[in-house]
Amino acid sequence: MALSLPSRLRLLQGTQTTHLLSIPTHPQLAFYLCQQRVEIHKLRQGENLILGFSIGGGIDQDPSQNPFSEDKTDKGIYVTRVSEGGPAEIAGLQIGDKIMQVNGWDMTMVTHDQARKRLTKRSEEVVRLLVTRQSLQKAVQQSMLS
Amino acid sequence: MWKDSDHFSNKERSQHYAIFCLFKMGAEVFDTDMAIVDKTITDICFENVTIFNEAGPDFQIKVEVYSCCTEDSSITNTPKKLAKKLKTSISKATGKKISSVLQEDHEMCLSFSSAIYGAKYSLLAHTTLSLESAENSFKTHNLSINGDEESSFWLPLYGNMCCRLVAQPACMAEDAFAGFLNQQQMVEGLISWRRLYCVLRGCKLYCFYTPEEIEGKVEPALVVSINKETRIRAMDKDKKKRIHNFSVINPVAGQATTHIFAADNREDLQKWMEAFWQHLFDLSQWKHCCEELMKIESMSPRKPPLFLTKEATSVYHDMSIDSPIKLESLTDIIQKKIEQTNGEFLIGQHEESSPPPWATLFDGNHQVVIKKKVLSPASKQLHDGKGKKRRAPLPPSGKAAFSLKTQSNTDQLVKDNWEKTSVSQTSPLDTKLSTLMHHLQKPMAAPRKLLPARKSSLTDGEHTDTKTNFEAKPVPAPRQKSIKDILDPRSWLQAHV
Repeated sequence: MALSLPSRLRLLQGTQTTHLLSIPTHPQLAFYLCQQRVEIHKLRQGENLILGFSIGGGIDQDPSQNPFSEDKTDKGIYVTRVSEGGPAEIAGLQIGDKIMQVNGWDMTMVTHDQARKRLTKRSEEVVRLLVTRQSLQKAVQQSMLS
Repeated sequence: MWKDSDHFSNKERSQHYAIFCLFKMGAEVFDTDMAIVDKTITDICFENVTIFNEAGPDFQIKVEVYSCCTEDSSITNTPKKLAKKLKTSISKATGKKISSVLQEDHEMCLSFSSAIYGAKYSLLAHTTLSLESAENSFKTHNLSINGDEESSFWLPLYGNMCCRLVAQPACMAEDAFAGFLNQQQMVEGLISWRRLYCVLRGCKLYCFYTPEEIEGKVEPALVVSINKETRIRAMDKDKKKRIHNFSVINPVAGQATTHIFAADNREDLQKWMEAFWQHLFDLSQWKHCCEELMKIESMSPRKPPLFLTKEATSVYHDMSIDSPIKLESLTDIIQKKIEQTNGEFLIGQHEESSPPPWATLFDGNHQVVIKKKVLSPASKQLHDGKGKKRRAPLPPSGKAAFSLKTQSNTDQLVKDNWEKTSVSQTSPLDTKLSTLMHHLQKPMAAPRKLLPARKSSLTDGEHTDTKTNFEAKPVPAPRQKSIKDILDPRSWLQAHV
């Protein structure tokens, strides 16, 4: 299922930051995918540019140990920690987000190390992430039912 | 109904018919097992249990009977065909020996299915079943028969079909609604309430003291039947301002029994009312199926019919399509014979210089299947973890192919991860046919166990043949294991960015 997601993302690119992907047939049974675009400006700390979060996951990792994924076979990249006051927190990245793209590069079918490298390119000072978030799911559910 | 003469004197012609039934409802189609009949059979029985989930009360099941006449004694002929092919593709001596061996074995599934493959089935009879036919016992239904005596697929059917159609509506089989209710009781003139856990199911409201009692299979404290005679009414405010009451009145044998329940709040009362209404509606739709819960029997495992057990003298004893190990028995035998006769087995009676065995490949008049095997040995390793039969890894010469195409292997491997079911659905028939041909053509090759082809067609162009590998035992390449470890670890790392 994750394989088909990137192609669906491209069709819905627009100016809004939040996109609702699937139309549910039954309010309790729908799988909501709310996407968020997050623009992180890296912070220079000495020689390094840091973003202020940690990632977990990858196609070479064991997906069953991912505490944030709903589907325990999901080998995507998830945000496991966001440092307080860091660039990621300021930009609105949240713990548990699944990173789908970084500056247009796909992050759903990458190894752990490839993911890390795509985020820490020295030539890029700004990274634009496309993330999926589960926490928006409940808010949307409530607004749909009321 | 066969004609008397045909039934009793069937020595000369063995005309076989293959027959099966289809059950269709909406978009779902199920089939029964295939039955082979000839003139000795008077009844055709299909033992399958077919279950359609998600059927509405207005369901229509179309039952269709298809038949196909197989050629006269084609089942026994097919081994001859296969043997003929083998005769021309390898040296005559071997071919003759193998064909004589094959002729002894009439029950080869391999030969049979290749005879029926591509056969055309015609609709012989049909009928439609719906809710009226659903009952707890067997019923006979009339079949409308197509075709007549002149049709090739004709079978003299009596025109009847017996089956047991069982309908289990959800309102009978599952709990329609459950929750806590307070029941009013009159004890010596005083009104008191007791709290009960009530379950609405199958025309009855079962009331227990606690939900655990249901699991403990304790008898319910109270059972109220809910059927079309029942009247359920929500009551107005009473003096104590408990407005969430409703009463259930059952006229039983002239005497009306009244039970008064109270829900905890307005929403619960609403939900119970809806549940009762829905339940009564379901009952009206499913009609007679709701009187009693009909049981769906599960098929008990049966012993395979006796004729499948074979005599030990046959080369193909115990041969089944799925196990590659059995295929090897043929190559083992051939190899042994080669060793015994010091090569004479293959060469035959020729006195002149014997050409190498693999020279037959280049004669130009043999059917050669050259397959290129690109492999993802790692994918095979993953299958082991999933409980499939263990197959030996590729021989070392295959390693070269692997290293050249690491990228595609990873892609294939990734695809394997996401499409786990697709690999297991390769057609075993074609694979086995090709491996059989392979083995017979290259008798000097080491007995290696071939991996299943990823795609089912014989002419797929994605596999390299590992040729001229005469080692006795393939050694697993260490490289394959490390890839497996990398891609299937037990760790979940985190990186800080």
